[in-house]
Amino acid sequence: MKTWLSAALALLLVFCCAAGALASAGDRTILRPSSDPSFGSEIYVESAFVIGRDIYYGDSGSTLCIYNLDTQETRQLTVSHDQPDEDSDADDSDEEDFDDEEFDEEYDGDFSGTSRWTQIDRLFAYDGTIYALAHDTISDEDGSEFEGEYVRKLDIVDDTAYFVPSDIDDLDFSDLVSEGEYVDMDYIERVETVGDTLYLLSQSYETDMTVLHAFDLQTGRHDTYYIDHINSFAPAGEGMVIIQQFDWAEADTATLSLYDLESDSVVSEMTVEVVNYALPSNLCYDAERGMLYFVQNGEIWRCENMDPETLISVNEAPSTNTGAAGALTDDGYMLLYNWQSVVLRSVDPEKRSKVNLKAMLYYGDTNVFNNAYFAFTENHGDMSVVISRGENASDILQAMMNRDSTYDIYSLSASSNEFDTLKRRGFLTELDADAYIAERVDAMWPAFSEAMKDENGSIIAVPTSVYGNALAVNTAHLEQLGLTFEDLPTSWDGILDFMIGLPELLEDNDSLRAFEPWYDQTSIRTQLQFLILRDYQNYLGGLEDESFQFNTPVLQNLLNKVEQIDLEALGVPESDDDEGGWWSEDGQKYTLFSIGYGLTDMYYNADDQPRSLILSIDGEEPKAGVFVTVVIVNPYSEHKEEAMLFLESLLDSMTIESKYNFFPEYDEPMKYPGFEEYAENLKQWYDDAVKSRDEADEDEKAEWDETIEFYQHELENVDDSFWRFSPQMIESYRRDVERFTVVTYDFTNDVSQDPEFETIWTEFISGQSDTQTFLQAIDRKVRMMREEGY
Amino acid sequence: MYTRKRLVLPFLLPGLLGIVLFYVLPFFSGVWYSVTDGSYKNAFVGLQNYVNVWNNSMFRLGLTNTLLLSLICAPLLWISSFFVSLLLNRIRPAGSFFRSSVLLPYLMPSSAVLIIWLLWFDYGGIVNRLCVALGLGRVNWLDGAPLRVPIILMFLWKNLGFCVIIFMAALQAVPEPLYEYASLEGASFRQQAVHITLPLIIPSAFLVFILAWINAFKIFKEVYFIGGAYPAESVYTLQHYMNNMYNKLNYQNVTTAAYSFAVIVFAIFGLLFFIQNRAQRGLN
Repeated sequence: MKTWLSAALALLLVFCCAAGALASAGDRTILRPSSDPSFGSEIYVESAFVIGRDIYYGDSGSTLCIYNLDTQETRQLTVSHDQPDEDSDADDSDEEDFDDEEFDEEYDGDFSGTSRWTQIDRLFAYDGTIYALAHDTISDEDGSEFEGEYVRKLDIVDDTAYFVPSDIDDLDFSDLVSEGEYVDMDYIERVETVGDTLYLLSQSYETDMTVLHAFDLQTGRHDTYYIDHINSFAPAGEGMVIIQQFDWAEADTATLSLYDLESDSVVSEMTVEVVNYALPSNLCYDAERGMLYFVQNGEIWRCENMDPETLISVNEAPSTNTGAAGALTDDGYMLLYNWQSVVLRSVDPEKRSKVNLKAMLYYGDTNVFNNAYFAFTENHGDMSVVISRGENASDILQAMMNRDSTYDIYSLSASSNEFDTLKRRGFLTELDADAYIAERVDAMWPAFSEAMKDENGSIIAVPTSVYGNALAVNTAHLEQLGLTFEDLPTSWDGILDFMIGLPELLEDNDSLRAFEPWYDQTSIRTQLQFLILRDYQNYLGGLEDESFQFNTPVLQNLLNKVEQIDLEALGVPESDDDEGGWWSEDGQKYTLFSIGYGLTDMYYNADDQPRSLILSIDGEEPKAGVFVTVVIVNPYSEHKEEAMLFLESLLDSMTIESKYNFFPEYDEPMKYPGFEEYAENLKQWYDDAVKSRDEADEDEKAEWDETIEFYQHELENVDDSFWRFSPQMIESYRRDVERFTVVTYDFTNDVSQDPEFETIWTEFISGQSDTQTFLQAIDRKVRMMREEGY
Repeated sequence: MYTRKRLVLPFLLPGLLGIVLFYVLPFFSGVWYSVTDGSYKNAFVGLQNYVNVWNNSMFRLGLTNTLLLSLICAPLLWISSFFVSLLLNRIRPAGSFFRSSVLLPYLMPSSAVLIIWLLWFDYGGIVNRLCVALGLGRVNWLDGAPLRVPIILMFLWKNLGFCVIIFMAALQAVPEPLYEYASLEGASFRQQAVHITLPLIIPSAFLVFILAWINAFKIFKEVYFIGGAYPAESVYTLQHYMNNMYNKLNYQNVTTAAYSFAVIVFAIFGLLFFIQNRAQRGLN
């Protein structure tokens, strides 16, 4: 008896565990973004459809994929704009294409400057296959001629997708054509079919109106619906649609309505709150069960019969293309996609993961979080992550006061008042328990590693990105003045004196300008003042005495010297509207100083590479303040360990540029993808040019000589091109990073949060108040803040 | 005179429950916060918070300013509302129009009213033009020590009506023949006010005084609108300190400051009640 009971219990245990494992197995990622978001994905997902047990996704331009839900295999097709029996090598602009009497008559056989191409506007699914809306455009210098919108049908031959003429040819799309200088098809936001009806949401280039169209694919009948503030729709059975309306002027609620097209009226509606313009998107309606699904704030929501009381979250969703529709598979999964990913998510709340992490981003790059999301959910199928963006970082303080466990993870700026407050008050979870996080943070450059720890040395945050800027000088251009980098002063006082004397130095030099051409006088002064104030705060932080004064002779002197720089004599325009910029004569000169040089940027330009000037205020070791985005775990979170696992994914998912910024171990030079192909092509182009020159007439040889000389120059410098992380940039960064300090609290943050600070700053940079008044006002405020304590 | 019926208890219960939930419990939990370090771990620190807060110069500045403002505002309000009510009590007919009008400022939202006051006291506003016309120089009323003037005036303007109403209710309870007898005996208006009116309305006068003090302690909103979280030192009140500490998640300092202030307020009002009792007994 005992044996049978034990066996039964064991079986029960197995089924429970298996059910738990199987419950999350249905959610899957069919396509995920590239781990290197700088270059996107090979496949650009413009639309996706469910047809039976297949999911079609891709774009009409180059690639179409078919994923089978049962075999879980993907078949990739190349999209061809030719017909299956055409020679794909044929030149599209061959004269035969224009063998049209009317066309010949008009253009009199002169095809110069004229082109014709077929544009596929949108794909849609109908009757178990994929169709395309397409049109031809013939364009010349006088304008463009739009030739018919028509429907083509997908035909797959081997691994190539062709769009061949279809039997749907009675549709009149003339209402969707905007006529102006250039005739073109209106932008089509969405296309859906229900039965034999094609629904289409278009936005007119002419009138900017969004219009809902319904075409009967059998009879050609066309109906138009003008609905105020319509942004999105989804079919909801015969003659019915779900529409989403949002007034951008009001921006706090969106309306979802079940709309009867026949009576042109709303059957039922509900409103949803909109925060930070996160609209309900990916609408999907199950007409049989009266269930509405949509995505908002990183979650899939379900509502029964448009009753807001029944609204529940059924699953999480990655960041999606808000312009896309949702689609349901026959086994209860919702197809969601954005430009670089395609996923399936269960809409059964019973199957939802037991652990649902919620992340709130007040600051930082959503792409990094999305990358981490995909990596994390692939490796931890029993957990889900909801990523939302917040508007007001001070909400986190309220959450701490309320001991709110809603969000497990927060992303904010390390220089924000909120992070400073949380750190001082001890409201940050210690992350040392996670060995991987501890190891990665300790492996960072000291400036970053120390900034992620509290006063006891415990790790309380992880960084995901960093940026900082500084003054920089182009040493190659400096040599034109007979100076080297070592000749330049290492203090702000010295550099400002140098800038004051610049007009004299540049008087006889026609090839150099002092600053970049896109700055005007106000922006240069503002940027210099900002850099000085930031460095001055670093300087104050390093003082041994407790004084924290801004109104000091040192700072007054520096800010006054900024005013003494004769920017007019240096050719800097007074305002943006004045002459200047790249198009001006001055714009063609070489730049000496870069005002906003990115200390953490890794791009490399061999011809114009500035060197940073990290300057001292008053003889101290100069430091450069950098701003870091950090991620923390809510101390009230009910899933702290799981949240730390997500932070591990974040550390691995940060961009490659951030990895080079944070970790000393990233020191290998790297070229951009495609370098080898480019180098080979360059060699080929050179060889082709030489061959062409040999075969050319005498009067064309000079032109080919120029081309050959150009390719020769490119070949000689090819090793110095295509750098993503060049040896020079790595060396320069490693030199600068030793002097970085993470800005932990910057009073200039108060410019945006405190109206009085903003007034003080605005009055100062606009010249309404002088330096002393400005510094006294700052001093009073900062002194009161410090005396209050924390 | 009093009933001991148990039926009374169910009727009292909802109110008592509310008082316990929203006043008594928060009061004691606040005491707990004031003896912990207020961090996530909330360790017990005894009276250390009180020592830290009383040693903080900004707390002392806020407390001083709050007491100073209330010392100026409360008596001013009391005196002005007493005399205005005396005058209004004599206006017949149309007295009811003025009696209603005087209450209007109390009903108006502060933020709307503040815009008008800011315009008046702006550097180029009406008040400065008046000063110039009178041969005085312009004053920056909205910054530094002069900011007290518009704050006090705004306080008086806003709260005058409410106090006048209380006084007027008390004045109407004074028997009219007493004034007639006093007039016949040759008593002036001032003598009637001081020797007849005032003694008979002591309880209401005391109430007005208490309310004036309480409202004066609460001066913050207008100063915050004008000067932000860190205004000129002369108008930095205790409420500023508590507000800023709250924003820094330092609620042990908030509660410590609040309870410290509560003790001072109890002491002040205790003294006032004592004076009032003695004065009432003397008159009786």
